[in-house]
Amino acid sequence: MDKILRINMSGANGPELKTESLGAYAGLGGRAMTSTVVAQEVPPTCHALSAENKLVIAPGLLSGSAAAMSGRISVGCKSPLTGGIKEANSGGQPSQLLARLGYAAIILEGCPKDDTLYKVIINKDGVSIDKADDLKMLGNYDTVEKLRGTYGDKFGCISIGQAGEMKLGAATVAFTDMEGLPTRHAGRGGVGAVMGAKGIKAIIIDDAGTKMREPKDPEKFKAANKAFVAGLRQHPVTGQGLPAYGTNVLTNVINEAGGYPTFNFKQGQFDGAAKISGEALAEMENSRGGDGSATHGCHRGCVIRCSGTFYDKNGRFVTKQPEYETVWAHGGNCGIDDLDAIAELDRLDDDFGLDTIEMGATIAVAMDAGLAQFGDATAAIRLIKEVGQGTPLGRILGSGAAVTGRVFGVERVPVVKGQSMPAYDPRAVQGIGVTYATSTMGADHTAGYAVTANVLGVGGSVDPLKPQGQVELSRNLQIATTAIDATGMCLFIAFAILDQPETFQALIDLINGFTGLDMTGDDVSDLGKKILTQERTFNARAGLTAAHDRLPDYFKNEPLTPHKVTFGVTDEELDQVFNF
Amino acid sequence: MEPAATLDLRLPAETAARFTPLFSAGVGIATRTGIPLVKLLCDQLGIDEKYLDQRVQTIFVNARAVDDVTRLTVDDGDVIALSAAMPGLVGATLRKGGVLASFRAAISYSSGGGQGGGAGFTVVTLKLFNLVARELAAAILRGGIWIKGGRLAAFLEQTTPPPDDTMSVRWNGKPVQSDRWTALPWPEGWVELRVETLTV
Ligand code: SF4
Repeated sequence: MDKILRINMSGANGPELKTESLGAYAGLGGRAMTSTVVAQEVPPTCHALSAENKLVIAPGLLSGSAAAMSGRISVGCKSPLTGGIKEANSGGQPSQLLARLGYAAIILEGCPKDDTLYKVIINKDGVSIDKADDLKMLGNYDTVEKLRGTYGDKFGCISIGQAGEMKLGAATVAFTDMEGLPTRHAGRGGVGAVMGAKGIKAIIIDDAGTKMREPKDPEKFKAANKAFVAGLRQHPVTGQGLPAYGTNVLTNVINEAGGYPTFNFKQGQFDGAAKISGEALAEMENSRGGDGSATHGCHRGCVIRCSGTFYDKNGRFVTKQPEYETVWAHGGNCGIDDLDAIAELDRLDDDFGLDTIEMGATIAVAMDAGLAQFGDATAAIRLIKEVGQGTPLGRILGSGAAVTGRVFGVERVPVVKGQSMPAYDPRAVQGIGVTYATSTMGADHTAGYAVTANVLGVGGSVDPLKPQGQVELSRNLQIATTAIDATGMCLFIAFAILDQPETFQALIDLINGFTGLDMTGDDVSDLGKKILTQERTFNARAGLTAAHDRLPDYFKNEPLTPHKVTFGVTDEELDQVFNF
Repeated sequence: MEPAATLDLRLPAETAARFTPLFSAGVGIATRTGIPLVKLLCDQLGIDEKYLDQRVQTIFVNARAVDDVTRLTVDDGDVIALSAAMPGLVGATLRKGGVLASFRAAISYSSGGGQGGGAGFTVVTLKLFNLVARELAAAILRGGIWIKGGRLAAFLEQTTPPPDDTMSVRWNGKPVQSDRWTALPWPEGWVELRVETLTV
């Protein structure tokens, strides 16, 4: 990956394409690339939908190589939802394809002069851009289908649905999967709205005639990759639990812990949890059968394969296997215990290009506002369809939970920095509340996802029994996660790394074998710190202060059943998270 | 205390496996209060100690995450849930004795367990999730679980019995035609259900 593609949509004679060398961005990938470009080139106070904002799409450092799990892609910009910096990442094929074509990043900048829509075509011969008004207001599925008529079925596609075109705060950027379907999304923070503001509907990527990226030290790389894969296969989470049940395996367990936000965060347990659990989903998928039903990867090179394929009872494809967060957002959080309805909502979200977490949280807020009854799946489907149709109500809902709560006068709106909380109640698991509150990304469950202090040796050792341990751990986890996001590795590798020091070493060896560097665990954590620091600095300049690093008050005042707990981490403690 | 009725099933593996989801919502286990929880799990239910230590990474008692299972005793009406290691930050946080335990201090099991008192009869609820359910359900079903008559009737309604010559049903010790397993005189109270898997 030795070049960057810049597409300036403000060119005097229409969009201008420029391919340039990496310059100061050499050696960066994934989140390290997107956040560095945004921090360097985007004025923090600009409007997120203005010409000054940029949308950066960057494959991970090891994408396009033979390294297992390396196909995640990052999308960064100033977020229309949080007002701060944003990195959202996704699976799918485009990361590998772009990396093989040599692009370390695509940077979309400027704004078109009118409402013409464009598509970008990238292949080994270069880049072109064409008008694409025939794709206007098509969903992601129809967009990809229509493009297939022109470009065949071998390309990977990055696209937006109707939500992105309408520049809604919950809009995603979609990435096609191994089957060429737009099922994988950079979901959070409204990144799709920024792509819509640039007037780009789709980026078509064809890597025909390219080769896999070669490591600098093939022997070391090969040996490390083998050890890394063996480590993932032997670990019970990555080798058995995730392949068998997917991430939805969490439903029963989080529900049992009393931390499963139910009825718009009113209680911590949902009576219908077992019906929508990973166990129930896997059984349904296995009994219905079909290709890739209960175990499937989101991109080539994934050896964990936490995903799957959801077919209806007649065997027709509906969507990819809904993830835990989706099943929770559209399920328990809305009082819905019907997996078929949840899968349909997931399909609609993917088609319109909507973040499933944001939309589930929004529908629950709408239910609290009286727009529908909790548990009414038909009403939830109708509300999501309003978003796709662009009705006034749909545009409000598609702008996310914070806007919906404001419009309908609802106090219980579970957001931080304008972004909805995911599927864990921060009153039950308070450490994750620290991460929700202080993450540079708004409420985000992946922000502190990865490896512990003990593995990376970040910030010294932590006594787990001291209350301040939560703050220190949240800090360390955020640093480590940020570093992994830069590699383009799926964060699920974290479990094997957490428990098996030799697998962590294999990861470091893999990076070193590929890049020819001699990084240590400390270097990885320094990288994480550096990225986080520039994200924090961007946010501070954008006007986000300590007052934004807080959970909504009701988490401190309303006890959560069954444990009757409130969020007890003090503001002073929260302000210590970024003391490094 | 005795159950109101007993149901003994001998089933082909495929049908027997369909009983595993009962453990998601929990099944009754007849035991005695005051005994160590490990004794219930390992001695009474036959879970291998090494399996409990290594495979079962997430344990809840009455919805509270447990760090040291050896310190607990059985209390009247306890709800005990066992799971394999879970993904995600929160999954890792809920693991027993992990470095992330402080993240969920508010919902951890803090005392030394039930105060015990005397050794009386009780029916505790046992929940098994994910791989642990898949791996332990058959043995525990063979030993017997307690389940309310209405719930068992509703469950069997949804389960097609295999052909008569591949299974056997005994109600209160007496043989019954397999196609009548939904038409039994279900009591309101507990039924002791034993399921034996037939190997072909
Ligand atoms: S583990 Fe799951 S999310 Fe990660 S790369 Fe594989 S399929 Fe995608």
